[in-house]
Amino acid sequence: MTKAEAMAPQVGDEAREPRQSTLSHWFNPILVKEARQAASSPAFAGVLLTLIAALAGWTIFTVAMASPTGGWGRSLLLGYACILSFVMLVIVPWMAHQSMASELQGNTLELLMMSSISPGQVIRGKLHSVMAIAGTFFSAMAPCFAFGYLAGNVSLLQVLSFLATVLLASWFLSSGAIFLAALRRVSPLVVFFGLGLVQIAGGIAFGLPVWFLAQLESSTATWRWLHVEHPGVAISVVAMALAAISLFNAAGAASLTFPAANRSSPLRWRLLVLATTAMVFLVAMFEAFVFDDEPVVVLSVLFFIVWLGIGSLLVAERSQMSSRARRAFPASRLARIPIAWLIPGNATGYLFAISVVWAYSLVVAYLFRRPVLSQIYVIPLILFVSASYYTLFLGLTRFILVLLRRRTPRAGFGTSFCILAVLLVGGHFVGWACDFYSLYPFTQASFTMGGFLSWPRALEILLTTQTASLPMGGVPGSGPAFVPVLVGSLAALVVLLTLPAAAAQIFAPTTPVPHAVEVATLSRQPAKPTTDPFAD
Amino acid sequence: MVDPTSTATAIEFRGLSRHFGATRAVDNVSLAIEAGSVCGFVGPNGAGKTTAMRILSTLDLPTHGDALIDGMSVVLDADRVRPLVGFMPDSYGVYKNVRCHEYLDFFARAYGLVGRERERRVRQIMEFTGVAQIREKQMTALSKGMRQRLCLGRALIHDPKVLILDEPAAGLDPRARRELKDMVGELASQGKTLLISSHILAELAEMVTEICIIEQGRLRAHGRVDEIQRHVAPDQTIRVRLLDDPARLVTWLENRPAILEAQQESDHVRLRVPQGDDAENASLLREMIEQGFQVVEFTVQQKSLEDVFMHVTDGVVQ
Repeated sequence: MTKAEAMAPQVGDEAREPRQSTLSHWFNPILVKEARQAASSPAFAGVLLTLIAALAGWTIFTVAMASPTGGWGRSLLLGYACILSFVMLVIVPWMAHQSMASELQGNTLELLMMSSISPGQVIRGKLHSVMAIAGTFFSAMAPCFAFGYLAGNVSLLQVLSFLATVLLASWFLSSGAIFLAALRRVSPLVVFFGLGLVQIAGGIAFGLPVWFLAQLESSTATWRWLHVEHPGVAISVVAMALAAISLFNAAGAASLTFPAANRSSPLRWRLLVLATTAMVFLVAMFEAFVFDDEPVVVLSVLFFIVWLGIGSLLVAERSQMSSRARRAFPASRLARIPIAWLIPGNATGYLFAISVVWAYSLVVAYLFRRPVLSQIYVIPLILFVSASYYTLFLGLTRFILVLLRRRTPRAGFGTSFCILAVLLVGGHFVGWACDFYSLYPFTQASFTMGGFLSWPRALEILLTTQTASLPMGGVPGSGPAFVPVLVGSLAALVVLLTLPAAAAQIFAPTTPVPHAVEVATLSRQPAKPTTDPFAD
Repeated sequence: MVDPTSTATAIEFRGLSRHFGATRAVDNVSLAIEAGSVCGFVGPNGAGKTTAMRILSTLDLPTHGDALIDGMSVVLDADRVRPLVGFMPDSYGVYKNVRCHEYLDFFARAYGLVGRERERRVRQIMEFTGVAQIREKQMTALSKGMRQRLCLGRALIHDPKVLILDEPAAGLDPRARRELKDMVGELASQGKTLLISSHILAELAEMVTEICIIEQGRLRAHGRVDEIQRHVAPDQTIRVRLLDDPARLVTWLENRPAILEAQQESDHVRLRVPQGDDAENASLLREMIEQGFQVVEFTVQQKSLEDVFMHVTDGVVQ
């Protein structure tokens, strides 16, 4: 057969088609490829065999050492839980990271990016394939857990809750690992944030299973979170985890996309969902349990600090959309109004970030509207001043960045984050120097005249956990009354000054500039006639 | 399958520029390549060939200007351009634990081929590229030549209209290069537009219908190979060998106004004539025979592509 004949359709091909793998036609191609790779990978087989050996070993050891009076079922289950946690929370996320990292290091990602697969499909495919592998590990352990359940004195709800938590935590960690592996440009700032992310994600993901393990070991487990009277808490935790996974996926896909593409809108959607689920969690917790003020302030400070990071990312966006990004939005200006905050740009990003923070503040203020010390509404006032500080500082950051970019066009997220940090620390120093503590943002100390401000504390503002756990000393509400008015007014002024820029970004012309015009503008030298082989 | 009779522009650069800081990898390049052409893309190392090819393959974006594939912009219509282009980069990774047919099957899925159409296409491509015999072999165990074939198969799996090959013959042995050349010929005969970069100019000259010469990101020459050769060298050299005394032929030639120079070199005569078409050369040969010269060899020596390349480029590396 000649090569040309080979390329032509063959008679009888239809009849010879194998019937296999019909179902796989509709799967994500990455999932199919990774599954095939795993099936013939010695590493996967090694982990699976080790897992089975560990399970068998633990079962034999526990049964051999069991006392005749019984009670060994709980120990058996505890051992299984530890083995499963290690595999699902360490091995599986590591495999996820390696899967994505090898694609980048092995120079195979570009082959994918020039195909019809979208960056989002690449990330989802990697995550799904890793979770399919996790499912294999899970299924290998299922008989052991069934045995442990039958032998031990634990409820089915406990076992299922643990398994569900580990699965969710593994999914969450794996998506975070893929996101970190997908980062193309690794700068010191990225490493810093990456470590922070690993710390937070790891803390949350490990914390929950450990908590469940503690509950499993304890014979007096209360299982309040899963109590039928408070399903909202568990549901909101799951919703938050899913929203975070979705955000990781979108961020991973964005890092594989060109800066000229619209990377902002998908991230903003997911940030919005994540913030909403966080607020739902807070409301559910408030409905389920009686809250003191202190945890709420700590949660609020954390929320604000997280959004400072997100805000500095959003205000670092370019003010002008690329032609590729513009094409993704409706031409009608009317149609753009409902999606105004999702349109890329630093001014719309700023409005998006402060809107989320103000919405959160309103929700929490409504929940904690009760008066303290019979004078003022402490929590609402703290939230008002903190949100005003946030609005003011982030707005100033945007303005400074816009001015900086006139000289240094490449200034981006790192610069905006540094400006914001300088503003925060600067505000602290000004407050300290003027003996005017209300300028110390995001702590209840803003409302006290008590003297717990010092040099070490000034540096500690950079440490989020310390800031969140600052002592709640002093008498709330004894600060100068004009401070909230002043800070609130300045914040409103900054928002007003941002509105024209936001309008310009929202209503930017959609229709791409015709090629001919672009070329005529950009190339000063007209192309020579093609008959001259020495064009140019 | 591409319609071979189509004469529309398949590839077009419009003021294309790509800057990396102060380095202008591609600098205001404008050119058009017709559908069905096989275009050689040559230039020194660092001339901007790979950058331009990556832009065409939607793997990079221009700093200014645009590139069009089949009339669609790689900047604005990247999603529609991708199915039209097959790109074989000069360096590419291989997957571990993946067999040859799985590799092609994966990319067929990635290009949206489903069901029996995908399976048929994979089989056809394996036959075409000659990897059907090693379909169960792991990719990592393949030789350089077989990997090149497989990568060419990957680039062809979705039947693209435009095929971009970046240094496809680099590192291949003579037999593999010959087979690659045959495959390129087959693809050209199917009406696909090919853009091939290579440093092996002698072989490239046998494959291409036109060439683009690029240096320091700027287009130095673009056109049909013979046009450029003619442009580079306004005259041509003809080598003539006789059975009898060459001195008599030199004397005869010196009296003819069309001959710029005639020189005896050992047993043959080398003459320089203005660039003309083959008919003029045939006429000269006929006259020699009519004058009684016993001509045993009459060779028109064109400037080779390498000569053209050396003439056009300055050898400046950025």
